[in-house]
Amino acid sequence: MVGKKPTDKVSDHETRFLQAFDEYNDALFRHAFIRISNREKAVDLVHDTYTKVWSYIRDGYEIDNFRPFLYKVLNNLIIDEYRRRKEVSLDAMLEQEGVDEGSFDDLTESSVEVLAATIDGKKAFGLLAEIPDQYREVITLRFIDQLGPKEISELIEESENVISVRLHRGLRLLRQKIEAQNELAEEKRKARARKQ
Amino acid sequence: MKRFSEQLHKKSESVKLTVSERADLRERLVSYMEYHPLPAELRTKAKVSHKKTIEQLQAEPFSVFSIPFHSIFKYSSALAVLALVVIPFVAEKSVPGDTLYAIKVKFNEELVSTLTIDSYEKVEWETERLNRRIAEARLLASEGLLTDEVEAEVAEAVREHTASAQREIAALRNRDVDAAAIATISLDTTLEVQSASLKQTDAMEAEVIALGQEKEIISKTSNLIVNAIEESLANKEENKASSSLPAYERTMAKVEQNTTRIHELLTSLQKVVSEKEWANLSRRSTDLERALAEAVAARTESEEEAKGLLVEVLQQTQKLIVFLTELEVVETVDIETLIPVVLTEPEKRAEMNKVQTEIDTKINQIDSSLVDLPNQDLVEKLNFARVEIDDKLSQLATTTDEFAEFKQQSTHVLVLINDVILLLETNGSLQNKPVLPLGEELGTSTASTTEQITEIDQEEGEQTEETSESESPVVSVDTI
Repeated sequence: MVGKKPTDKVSDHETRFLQAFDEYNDALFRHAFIRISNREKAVDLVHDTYTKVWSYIRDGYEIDNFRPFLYKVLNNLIIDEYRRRKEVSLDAMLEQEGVDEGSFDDLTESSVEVLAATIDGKKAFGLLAEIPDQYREVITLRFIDQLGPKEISELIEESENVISVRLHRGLRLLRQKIEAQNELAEEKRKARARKQ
Repeated sequence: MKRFSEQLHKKSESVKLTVSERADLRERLVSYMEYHPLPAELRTKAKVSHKKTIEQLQAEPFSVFSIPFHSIFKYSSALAVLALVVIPFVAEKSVPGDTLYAIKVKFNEELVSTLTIDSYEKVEWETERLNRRIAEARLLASEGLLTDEVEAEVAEAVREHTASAQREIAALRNRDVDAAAIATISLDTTLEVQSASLKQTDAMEAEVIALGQEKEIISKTSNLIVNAIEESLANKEENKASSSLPAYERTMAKVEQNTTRIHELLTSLQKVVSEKEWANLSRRSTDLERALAEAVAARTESEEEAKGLLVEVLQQTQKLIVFLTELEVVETVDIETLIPVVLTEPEKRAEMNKVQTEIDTKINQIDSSLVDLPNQDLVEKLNFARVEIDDKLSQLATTTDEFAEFKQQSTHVLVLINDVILLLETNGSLQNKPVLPLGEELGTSTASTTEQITEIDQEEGEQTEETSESESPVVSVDTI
């Protein structure tokens, strides 16, 4: 992805860099916005992502494929951002403690697909902000940014299995939330019917 | 799964940067890049694009637009080269009426003027500009593009250039009288040659018209320009009166410069022109060298005389240079008109002898014809003429030392003799009739004699065939 090699062919760094901006600014912003739920901060993160990448280029790194590299940088910046927001990360850690990552059911991609098929995507989108970031991260990368399991694995430096597990749990959480929402709505409806 | 993924993705697409957010972000990034440029070894040709879409501009009505100084600087050197080198270079070939003509006259030539500090060089440059204007006028005329306006313009330019040359000469005179005198000579000579050439062109044109030929007039230059030159020449005459002859050494230096130049020009011409033409030209050069030697010799006796001779040489060299360098002049004026051949002493002797022999032959002819002439009136007339001829001949005998004098006298005598011969010829009474070239015959007969001839012709027209049979050896009259 990134290599410090002598620039034998002098490619047009500036043009390529700006093309990468034009191509991925929306996707990066979307990813950042979904992850941290703050529009201004998301814009800043996108900006910081690009300036960091530019610094890499200035240091003489040749970037063959901008997309994964940009995601990697952005992801690191988002993690930094979470570290700054201690209360959020504490929540996430608490959530994480109650989870067993090694359970057999969660380990297959097909099980993820089966699970995903049972969830309403539109509703899930609104609930993404309510699940811990480590699930939101993989779900965003997988379903919104549409990266493959291998790409995600490289990006967050976890095995594909771990990613599958996280996807599975994330989706399960989402489903639970949706179901809870539905139940709430059902109860409200029933309560209204009773009143009538 | 697919449905979920699609739904989620579709939903997420509603999250995106607004147009102005994106433009802002890009702007921030671009300025970041400009403040943190790539190191020299990574820098490449293409630069940051500053183009904005119309959409972006509409979304930011008050955004500051950036002037692309970068690309302006980038191309400024190329523009400068274009403006300062290419355009003036191309402009050098322009003629009045061309777009670039103003650049040639107002920029190129003025630049040279400004860069020339020395007054003498300035005079030379003004002279050169004068030549250029006239050459342009000729070029336009040859293409039939010389309008009255352009003509007036050229005439005005001629006046302007001579005026400024004269100004410079006047300025020069205060500091360096000799240089001023030499400069005057060069300017005058150029004006003379150009004027001669232009007049010749007009004469040619008149001739063409007179002959009624439908032939296209090769070049037509107007009187306006000639007038302008003549005017300048007239001014010169006035100036000349006040200017004395330049110092011997200074004139000599200039003459030497000129002779070197002539030598160079001749060498370069040797391969181009025909052998005859070249001989003709190099003859002038030898003449000049001889005149120069004479001037040097004269110095031992009288400084003033030597100066006078040297100035003449200078004028001749100047004329020859103009003749050799201005192609258009060559086409219109014969070198003989500008710089006549100067004969050496032996050549002069030979020439005098030749004329003498011719005169003698013709007198003998007349005398032998006079012996048995039936018409008494004619005899009387001829005797009268004969006395006059004798009178002239005796005068001629005294002037054998002065070639110019001799030449003049002998021409008179020959005219008289030729008239007599013509008279005899028309009467058919000529013995050993010489065959004269047609031009010569017409040229020497005066009006009074032709009248006589016609009278006599009417009276005794029958006798013509009798004696015309006997043909004499051809006597060619050298026109030099």
